[in-house]
Amino acid sequence: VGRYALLGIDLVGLGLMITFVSYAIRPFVPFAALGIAISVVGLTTLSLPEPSKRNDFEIAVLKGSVLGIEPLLEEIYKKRSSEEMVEQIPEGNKVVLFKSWGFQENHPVAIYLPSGGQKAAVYIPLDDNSPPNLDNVRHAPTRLLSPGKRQEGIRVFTAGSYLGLVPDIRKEGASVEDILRQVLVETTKLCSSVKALEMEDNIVVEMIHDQVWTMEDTEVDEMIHDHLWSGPEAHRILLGSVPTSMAASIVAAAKSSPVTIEKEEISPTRTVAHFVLWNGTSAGVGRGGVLWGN
Amino acid sequence: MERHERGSWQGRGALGKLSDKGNLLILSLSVLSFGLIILLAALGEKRITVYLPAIALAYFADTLVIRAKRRTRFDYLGAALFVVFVLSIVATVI
Repeated sequence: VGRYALLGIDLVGLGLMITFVSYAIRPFVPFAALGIAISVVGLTTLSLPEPSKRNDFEIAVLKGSVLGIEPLLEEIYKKRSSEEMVEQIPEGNKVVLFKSWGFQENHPVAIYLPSGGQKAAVYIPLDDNSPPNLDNVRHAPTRLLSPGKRQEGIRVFTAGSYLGLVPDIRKEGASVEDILRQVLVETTKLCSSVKALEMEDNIVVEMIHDQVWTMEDTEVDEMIHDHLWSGPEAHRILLGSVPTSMAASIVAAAKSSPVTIEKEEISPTRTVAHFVLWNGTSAGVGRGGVLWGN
Repeated sequence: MERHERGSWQGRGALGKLSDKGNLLILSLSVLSFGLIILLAALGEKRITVYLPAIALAYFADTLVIRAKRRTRFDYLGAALFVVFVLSIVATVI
């Protein structure tokens, strides 16, 4: 029996007892009303879902999957890092990551692909000379080719790769915000709340993580913060922080459209991620084609 | 992230628990409904049909302001309190 259920049962029992005594045995209306009010509070408590505890096993598995692709991401990062790809601008106590696209200004760092009935990949362009198109993106290799061979991009599989295969993600009537809440708040507990705002091809997601950090659980908190919220460096730079990366996978799956992270603002208690849906052509989403235009 | 920055969210302590909407709903509903009962009792009210709408109103106002997630989509308790509210008003007027 959960905490709310126990409290609710106790309050309802106490309330009924007070009501019975003060109405039937020794009539006193204010006490009877007090008993009813206690019962109402008890029933309200019973109607609340039990507060979910963070599952450290889930967190550990998630951390493992994030670290699993880090060596590959580091290789990709080295391959691309001839010029600065991501501008990190400290703003007070937060860091704003602008994905201002490495060697050529209008290229994305990564494209989150929808699952299409299979595990979903994230495409990372390696070649700045040709803007990515959907065919190249879908058939890109999943490993780095030997240095002599030309490679336009690579597909990597992230922690959110299988989210698109969960039937609930395309459930009728479910909004992006509902799905984000279900995954990031209720299942992985990476956030305490999530809000999503959709404007045509742009989706802004605000993730609050103030409740994730508690006094009691410092070691686990540090593990989550250092390895999940900010993520290992190459992950953060190429794919965004872990919650943002998962949110991008969810948006791609829910909208059945490729997605890029336009901007990510990370502060101690709040992360705001700006996503742009890609409509399938090489020239043109969001901001008048600034990201994709030739 | 620097350690000193972590203090801003580590120091929330017990008060941080109130940021959980469920806890906040229980606490505010208790304060509001018990407060109303004490107020009505202090005014010398002796009719239960006055207390019941007050409790129902406290519930509606509180759940309207604090929109905590519930187990069921339909608010059965709210519906029951609405019926009680209507019956109490009818009984008081008639």
